[in-house]
Amino acid sequence: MHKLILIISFLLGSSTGWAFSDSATNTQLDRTIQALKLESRVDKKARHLEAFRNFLYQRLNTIDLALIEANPDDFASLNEFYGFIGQIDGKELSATACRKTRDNMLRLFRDNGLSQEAADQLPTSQFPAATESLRLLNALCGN
Amino acid sequence: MKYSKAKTMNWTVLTSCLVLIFGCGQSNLFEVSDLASNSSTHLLPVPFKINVREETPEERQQEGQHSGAAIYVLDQINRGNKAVRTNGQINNTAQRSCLTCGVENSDYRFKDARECNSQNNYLENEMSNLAAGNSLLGRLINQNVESNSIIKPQCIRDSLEVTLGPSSKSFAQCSASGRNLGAAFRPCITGNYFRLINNSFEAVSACMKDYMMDDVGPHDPSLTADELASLERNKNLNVLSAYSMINIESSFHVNAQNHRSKASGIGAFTDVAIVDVNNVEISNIRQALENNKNPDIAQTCRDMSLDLLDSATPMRSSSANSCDRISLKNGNPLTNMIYTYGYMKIAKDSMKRNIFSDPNLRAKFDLSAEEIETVKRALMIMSHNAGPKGAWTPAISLLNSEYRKRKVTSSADFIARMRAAMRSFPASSNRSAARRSETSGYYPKIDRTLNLLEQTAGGGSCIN
Repeated sequence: MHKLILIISFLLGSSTGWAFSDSATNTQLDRTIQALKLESRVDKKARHLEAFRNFLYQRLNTIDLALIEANPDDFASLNEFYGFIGQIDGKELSATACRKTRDNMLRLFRDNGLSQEAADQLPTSQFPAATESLRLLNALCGN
Repeated sequence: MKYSKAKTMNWTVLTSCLVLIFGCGQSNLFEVSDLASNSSTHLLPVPFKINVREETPEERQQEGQHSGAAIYVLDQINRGNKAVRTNGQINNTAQRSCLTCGVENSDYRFKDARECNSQNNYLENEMSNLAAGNSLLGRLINQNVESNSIIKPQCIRDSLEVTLGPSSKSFAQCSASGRNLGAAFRPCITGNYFRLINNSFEAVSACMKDYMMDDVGPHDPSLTADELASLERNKNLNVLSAYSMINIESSFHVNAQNHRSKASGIGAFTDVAIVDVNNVEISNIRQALENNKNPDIAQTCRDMSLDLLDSATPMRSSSANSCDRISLKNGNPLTNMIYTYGYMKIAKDSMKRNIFSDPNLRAKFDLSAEEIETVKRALMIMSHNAGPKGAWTPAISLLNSEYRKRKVTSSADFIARMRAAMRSFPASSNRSAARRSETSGYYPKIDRTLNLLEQTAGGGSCIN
């Protein structure tokens, strides 16, 4: 299961080169992923995830409005990421639950409503929110 | 904060070529002003049935004097109900009092099958055969049109005529073996055809309206009378949302098809959306249909599940099987309508999980339960075109920017601001100029179309 998520993350472009333009978020995300990899207790993992989500929420509400206006796509990407993380239940990390969450994320990644421009026909480099949330899930579901 | 320059690729040209939505050639029809106002409403069903009959030869002769949506006669049904918009606001500015309400004056005029031509009569034999049998579709074709249906029959009737004209070829014909035979003209609108569409939508909506609100049980003993009335009103508004979306997607034609994307049928289903329903909701839908407790419709609901959803993937997702979404043999329009509600439910649940179950985001709303439902419904509609992340990304972005220091105190204001947010803060897969334009314009277009149809129907609501 762990390997499968890792492969999918890799296929979607999990390199940190695809991470967000907001360095504070990238730094905190990398720290959280490292902490999750070192942690084996589910309750502590859940706390790390919750802390990161709260950090991201605070970050989204304090980014300078002028910067948002200058780079609205970057801001949208961070909010999309916040939504993807909301799909993860940090307290339920069984193999089955992890697989379901991964499938759900991939479904949301592909689902572009009734557009003819299906998301999976676009280059994966365009989707840091999906790739980074899968990286986070991989760290959560590992060990 | 350090921002680096994002890598950009010009997908605009590609997507501009790809994007083609139903009815765009007729979009000028919908440029009407918003008549919404803020009065409250009290809706009562009309307790009688309408008999649908075929035209007499004299009436057929007169038909040349009518055109477009005006070929039907249904002027005497009570249209005094105040209009409830999908956004929950009330439209009572164009009401007309009902002077001679009554079954004696209430009938429709349709084309006789003999008046159809060889290019648009391709469904007639199949419908006649169904009507001669006892299948669920056959029973619906034979059933009288009920004037107290959730959506007024006149509104369904208008939808069939108003958005896609008789010369449109945004339709597909399927062979007996389920092969897509390619583009076809709009089906001839006969009495059988109207009953098939209208009665199917009524049956599916009645069977699935509880499922759409499954977070609140219909028989929850703790609910007060007011809460029960509010719940029922919200269920009907969900049905109105489905009606409004279908107007845009297919004009309620069973075999509508976008020939480029293969988005097909009543709900204009794409491959990905079908996969979603098959993977996420189909078993919940079966359960909801088979456990419907309303004695008036329980058997019909069970039949829908057992007759139409009996296989693992009742509707296959490959475009090569696009007739699954269209063909009467596959139980359409019922099957496609069931899938449409299923996809709406996925969108609604996604918004609930990502926004309204998140304590940080939920705290930004200072709205009544009813207004929260209004916002959820609007996001659900937007999601139908933009995808779940295509609706939640701009919504969360909006909450985290414009609503940083203040709360959402008006659902209408939030919904209006969503239009700009869908342009400024789209999900990454909706960033092309064409998609920004399409996704941000979808909800307003639905609202304008509904407004037009309600005006055509005499100014009252399309909800009974």
